[in-house]
Amino acid sequence: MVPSLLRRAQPHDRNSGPKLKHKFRFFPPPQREEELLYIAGGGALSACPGRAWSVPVWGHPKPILSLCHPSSGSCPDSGVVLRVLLPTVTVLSLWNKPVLLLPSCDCPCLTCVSPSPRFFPSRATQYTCMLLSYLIENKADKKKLVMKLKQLESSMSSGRKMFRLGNVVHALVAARRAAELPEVVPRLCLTGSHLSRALYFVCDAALWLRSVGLQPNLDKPKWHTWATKCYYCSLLMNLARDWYEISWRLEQAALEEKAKENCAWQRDGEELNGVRSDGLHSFLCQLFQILKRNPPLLLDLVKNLCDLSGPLDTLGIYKTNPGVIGFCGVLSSLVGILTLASPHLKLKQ
Amino acid sequence: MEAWVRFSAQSQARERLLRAAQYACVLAGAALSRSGGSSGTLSRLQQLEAHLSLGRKLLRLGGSAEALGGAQRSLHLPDPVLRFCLTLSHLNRALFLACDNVLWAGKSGVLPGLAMEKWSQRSFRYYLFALVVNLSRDAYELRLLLERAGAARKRGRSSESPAQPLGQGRLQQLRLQLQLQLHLLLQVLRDNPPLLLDLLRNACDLVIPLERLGLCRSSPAVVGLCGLSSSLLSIITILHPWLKLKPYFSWDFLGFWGVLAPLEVPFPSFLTLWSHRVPALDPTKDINSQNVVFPIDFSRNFREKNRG
Repeated sequence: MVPSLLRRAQPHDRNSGPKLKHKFRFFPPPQREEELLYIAGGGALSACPGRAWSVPVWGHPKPILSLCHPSSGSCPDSGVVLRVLLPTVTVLSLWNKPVLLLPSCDCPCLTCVSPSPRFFPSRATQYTCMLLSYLIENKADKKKLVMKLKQLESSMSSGRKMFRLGNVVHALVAARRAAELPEVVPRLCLTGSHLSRALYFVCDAALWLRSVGLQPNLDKPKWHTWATKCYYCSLLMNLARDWYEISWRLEQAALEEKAKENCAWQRDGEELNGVRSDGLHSFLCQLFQILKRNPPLLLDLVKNLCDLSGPLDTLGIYKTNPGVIGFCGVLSSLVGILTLASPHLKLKQ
Repeated sequence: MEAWVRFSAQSQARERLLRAAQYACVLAGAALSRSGGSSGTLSRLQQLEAHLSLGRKLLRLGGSAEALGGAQRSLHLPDPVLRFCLTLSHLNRALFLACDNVLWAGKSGVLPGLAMEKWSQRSFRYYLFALVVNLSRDAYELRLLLERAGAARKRGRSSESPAQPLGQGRLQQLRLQLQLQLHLLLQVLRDNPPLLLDLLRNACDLVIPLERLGLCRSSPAVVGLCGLSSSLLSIITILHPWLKLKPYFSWDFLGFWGVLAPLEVPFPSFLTLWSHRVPALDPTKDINSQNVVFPIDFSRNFREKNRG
């Protein structure tokens, strides 16, 4: 059964019947069941290369939408690129996710982008307050402002705890997905990281129950320490995975350089004139090159390193002041927001 | 577990769950106080409710901009009544969210000297306006559907000639007419679950600002029950997106029902009771011979220009 928001175009439809005098372009209908497209109040879009469908697009006088070819690019959940023959901006519902259709200039190509859930940058605000209150703490006439900042920070923190209540399941699902990775080191590191993050969320939920008043007998310092330890453990595993990614890329770069050197040596017939600089310098150069070529890896590394400052201070391993923690927190929140806004900057597993 | 991940990835899902929890607390507190619960439990429930409310206010912090975006999008609807209603509703919601943000600032201590009562009344007033406008939009859609159903019924009955018994009094006729209308109304509502859900949700939501503004006296139990049921209805709408009332709902297009098959139904099958009413398009026949109207020709001029 074909849901009827899609017109199944027949090539002979062009001039038949008064209802069809719309300016649609008709192409042969799809041959196979899986090429059917369901758009309605919600539905799945499947790949339909080379077919055109006229789909009513609300809010535009000439709605023509032709679905050209699938792409696994920016929308991993539905993976379809919709080509728009006339520019229009509208919203269709796509399989639980609203799809924002955006035209582009030269080739009116659409990517179905599921708009990220609306959020307020509460983490960034929390750490900004921490940083600001540290910076203006010692000024005499700013006591009220400091108190307001601290209030804002604590209310953001408790609100975020409440919002995070269901994340245990997210972490467990991510751990299960990570357990299926092909390579050993990322598999172990990521699974461990997600499992310890799940434990962190459990401790966090317990702390929230205490702060709300449902469990006043909870031992707050103990649970807080446990939460920080779990978070620290997950950060270390993330860093281990980042280090693994960097190291195999370094090896690859070294192999390439050696191959190039051998090639050049054979061609020139003499040894290279360039003096090899000392190991640390070349290592740093190569590291810099690798990180420049892989922005997701760089962002992930920066995020993990910045996040590390909080637990290090809480657990007493490396004590710093709230200013440093606030600054690192702001930086990691900005990286997180950047990753949300451009999903291609996220480090894929 | 994946179902929870997918559900909580929707933008409103967690907020609705927290709202349901908040009104469940109100209901539980009212029930406990009526049946003589301990004051410790009652105070804990009140504290939990206050925390949930403050947390929800924090979640709504960026909401005005989104509501204004929705208002801008609904300006492009061709139907004038829908355009007016939806734009007004979005604008009122934006104002409500702005007042709500100010209230959050006051309650969390950022603006300690705020007149809470005044801002609270203001926010509830905007919320009430938005709900009234939503209800009027529901009434408009309902009227369109009733007209269409009445016309269909008349067409169906035009062949038979109804024999009017002469001895019937006017009161009886009036009663019969009313019964017919009621029957038609119930049939229309039963055939259109998105409209029914939206109507119920707005009606339940209406109790809350009416009670807070003092326009209608009711007990906290009623408020809690209405809030809980409206939150549950909106959670159902999130779980099944085809139940969401879209702007072209009352147009005669069949696409709404086309996707029952691939949907997984975690809820019991009462929602698929309507599946037998799905008219199937025959893919083998010519699409023009089947009576399908698309919202493409939403403007009458456009249709008439292309006729003949």
